Amino acid sequence: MSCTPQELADLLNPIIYREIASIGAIDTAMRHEDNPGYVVLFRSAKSGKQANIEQMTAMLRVEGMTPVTSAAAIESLLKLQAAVMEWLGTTPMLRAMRIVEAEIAAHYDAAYGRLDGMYQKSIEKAWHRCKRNVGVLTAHIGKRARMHIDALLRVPDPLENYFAHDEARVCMRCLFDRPGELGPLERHDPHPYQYICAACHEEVLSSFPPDIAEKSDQWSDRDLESRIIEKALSRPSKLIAEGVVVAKMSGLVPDMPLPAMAWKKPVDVTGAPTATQPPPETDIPPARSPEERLYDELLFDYESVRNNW
Amino acid sequence: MDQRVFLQKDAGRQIDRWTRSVCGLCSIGCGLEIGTNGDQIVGVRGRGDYPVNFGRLGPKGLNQFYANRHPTRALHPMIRNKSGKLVRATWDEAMNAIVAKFNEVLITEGPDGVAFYNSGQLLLEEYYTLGKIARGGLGVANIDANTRLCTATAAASLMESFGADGPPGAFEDFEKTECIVLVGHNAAEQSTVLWMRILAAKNGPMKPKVIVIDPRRTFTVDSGADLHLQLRPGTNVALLNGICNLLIENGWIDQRFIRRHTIYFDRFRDIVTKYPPARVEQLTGVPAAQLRTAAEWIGKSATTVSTCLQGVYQSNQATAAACTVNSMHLIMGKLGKPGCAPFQFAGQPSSMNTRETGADGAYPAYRDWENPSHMLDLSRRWNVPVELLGKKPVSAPEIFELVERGFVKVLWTICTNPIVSMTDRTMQMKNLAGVFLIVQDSFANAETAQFADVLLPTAMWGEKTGCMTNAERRCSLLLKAAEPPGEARADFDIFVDFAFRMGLRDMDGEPLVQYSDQEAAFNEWRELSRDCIPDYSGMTYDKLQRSGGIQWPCNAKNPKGTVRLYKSPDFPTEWQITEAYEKDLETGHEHTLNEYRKKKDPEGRAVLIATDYREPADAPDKEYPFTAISGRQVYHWHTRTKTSKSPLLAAAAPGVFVAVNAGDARRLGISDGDIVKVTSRRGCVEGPARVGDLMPRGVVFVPFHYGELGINTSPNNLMAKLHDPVSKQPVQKGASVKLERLRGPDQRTWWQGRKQKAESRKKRK
Repeated sequence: MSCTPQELADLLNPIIYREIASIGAIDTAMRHEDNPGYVVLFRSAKSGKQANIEQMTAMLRVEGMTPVTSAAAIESLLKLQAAVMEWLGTTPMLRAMRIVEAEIAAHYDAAYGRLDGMYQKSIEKAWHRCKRNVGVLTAHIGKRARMHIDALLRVPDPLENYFAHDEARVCMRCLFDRPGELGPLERHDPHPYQYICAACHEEVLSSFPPDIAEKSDQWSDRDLESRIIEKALSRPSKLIAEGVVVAKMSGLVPDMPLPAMAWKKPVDVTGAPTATQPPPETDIPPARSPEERLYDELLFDYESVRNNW
Repeated sequence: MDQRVFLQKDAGRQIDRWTRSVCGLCSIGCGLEIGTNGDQIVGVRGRGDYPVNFGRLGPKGLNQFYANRHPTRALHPMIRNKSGKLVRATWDEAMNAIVAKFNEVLITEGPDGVAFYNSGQLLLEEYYTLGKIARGGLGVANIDANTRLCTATAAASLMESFGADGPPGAFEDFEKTECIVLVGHNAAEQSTVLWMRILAAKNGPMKPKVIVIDPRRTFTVDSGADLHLQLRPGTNVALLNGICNLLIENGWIDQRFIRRHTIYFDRFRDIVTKYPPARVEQLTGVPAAQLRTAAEWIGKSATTVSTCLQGVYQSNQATAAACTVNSMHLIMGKLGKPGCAPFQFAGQPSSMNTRETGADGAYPAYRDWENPSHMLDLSRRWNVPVELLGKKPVSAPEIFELVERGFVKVLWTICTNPIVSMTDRTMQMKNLAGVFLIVQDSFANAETAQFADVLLPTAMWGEKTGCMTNAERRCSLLLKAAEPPGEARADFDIFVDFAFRMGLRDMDGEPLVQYSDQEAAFNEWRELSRDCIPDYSGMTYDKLQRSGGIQWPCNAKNPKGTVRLYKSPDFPTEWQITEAYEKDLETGHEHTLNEYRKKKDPEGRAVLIATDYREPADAPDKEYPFTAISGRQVYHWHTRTKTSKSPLLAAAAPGVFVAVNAGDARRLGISDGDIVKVTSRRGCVEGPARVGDLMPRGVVFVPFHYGELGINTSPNNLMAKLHDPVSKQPVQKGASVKLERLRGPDQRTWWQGRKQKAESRKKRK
């Protein structure tokens, strides 16, 4: 580490402080947001921020420093701002969020330059989460405000690669609404609102393991659709979308871990000894009911074999 | 209920002391006393005054103490060295290795990089502490328990129907009812003492009729059923819809109750009326006449108790089927009064506590992760930032996929054996051989322990103090009767030590875990649960010690506890208190808080749920024409880590077998005892064929206890990585397979030459 524990605390605590405050604002926004797609988008942003805080908190804990745990002053302001913005509409809220995110990203950028090794790797991960948030927010603001994306902030691809429809929709997996051959999957009342974009539809369908994919031809259309939605909204699938799709569409290199590689062999350290146990002495008083008596007789006869095995 | 005090001990050994406890195997939670000689457990006897079992114990309960003194107990911590060998370590070395790895991964990957997979066999105080560390201290959402494999669906269905987890009934309802419906519940093998109570009740004043719904002609069917509906695997929903249809058609419903206390009756009726008896017969194989009889018995009885267990929970459309059972009771108005309850059963002795305290990934005391006021309340009680709470739970199947894909770098398994118990076992073995694996277990040779990077030896049942809550919400105190062997420690002490070494602190800079003994942990839990649905605030160790357990809610209003829930039907479905916001039963996706609050809130009424039948995902086909189902044998518990240590139990059920229908066997040239191979798209099982008339045509059964490394005995080799969309419970009863004869018996198969017992009452008469 290129700085002292105190310097590390001075570097990270202001970022933690801002992340905590922005979570407070997101919580406020979620409470007011009626569009389930944007609730999912907010949740995703919140979950990334929580992970960032936990990473930085772990660093400070290891160095014996105390992480900040509250951002009371600024948080109240941001919450108030979020409430107002949500009252004005989702787009102003997204704009406000993006401003905060861009500011936090600048702090990560500065911290990244001050650190090295494991800590730098950690900050890079947090920074990338933050940049992904900025990317998602930027694309949605561009779409919702019907502005040319260049006027706002650059995203790597043309806006039509992010949104396949006229109106802005949020895929609950990748947070965009990417186009694709198979078309999107959508459900609403009486079900909870669910939306998976066409591109995620295809990606998830092709991610079923071979044994299950083989069976999927025999499923009804409805069952296939249900299983794709279920899989798309699972934690692993969402992390893959974050690491690959959202990263790429935010101008970052995809960030996926290597799959677990089996390297260990099982070891039985006991040598599987056999135990010599003393013989048992058992007392089972007779039952009154004939059914219970018969059952006891069968149950506690360890030597016979019952017909129904 | 008459008292019968069962006892088993070492022949000729003196018992110096009896210590009060509860059986540590199934969810019935029988009261017992542990007999010790010096510091060794040498016997057990039932507690005659205990209101669950009145002295009775099952074979596993009587034999459980052999495991405590078995030479394969883990006696000291071990660490895998660079050459792959597990070598002895001190507690300091082992815990420091864990802390270093956790910190490294938390720093580089964040909380998604670590995961906890715990149990249904720990104690309440241990679950609570683990949940607090994971959720409140580390911000980890990857925490679940092996209860995901047993009763996750029970919890999910109770939330969907009634707004919150918590079985409504009590065991005494089985003696106060006219009709008992066991849906996928092989009570004679899973819940032996409850089955004794039912059999005794059949001789009592109520003389309940017993209906069993199961694809297999089980011990339960043969020893006490009055009607067996032998349905095809995976068709529970079709059959239950058929019963509900007949109940409505014949007017065996309670219109007033439906009107006042439920919603969506019209939608419910519209679905179930699509299931007339003829269609149900076609889908399930159950004769229409039998279905009509079942509906008539259920409908015309003044009181009915139903139970669901793994035949529902590990099967196709698990949550949907369990919800239909709840709905069946709701349309008849049969709950909240004596002799009336839909019993969504727990499986393991403390699986209720896993769910209550949040060690299964939920937040404690049935707080909803999405409800801001629930999270704010929790943050105040734990004194942690509310901004770091409110993470969506990640279920065990997701956690194992995260391991497989490399997201999870450290997996800590606690008192569980996933190498044997998880589906798609070949893949699981590969995953656990690749991840940094911390195993906290009592046995050093458990299959999962053999893959450990760090092995922590633990005290087991009888060697530590704490509480367990059984399937009727009865919390009991288990007292320590003997010291654990070697350097083994209570799981509770390991968690407290871990929190200390990690330096986890609250918002005031004080230790996050401020207690160091179980009673103090219990007292913190009591306060945390105050005014919540599972309210323990009125319980104390002293009170529990003096009683035969107490059923929650127990508080100032109900100081002696509560026998049954929903006496005055006021269901916790309002958005402010509910544990869940109604999910899509086909995808598992949940309404957002605002969707629920504005469109769905049932405002204190229960939700009537019916679903159309859907064919199983891995249904038989031309290439794999059979369905394999798995299940239990009465003499073993789960993966046999404990029960195989008893000479009597091990000898009574020594090995795997494949139960095959006699007609299928004839067609394939298979004789009883021949070695057969069952193959699915994922793996195979080899073992002797047990040929008979227990299975319907086209279905084979393999007990799920066996899974020795290096041989193919586990049915989880066959099962796909499929799970219920709502409860995320893996499907372990339904894989398409093919069956072939490999060869004649290698030697005389273990059951040949033994006395055959006919358990059918009719046969004996």
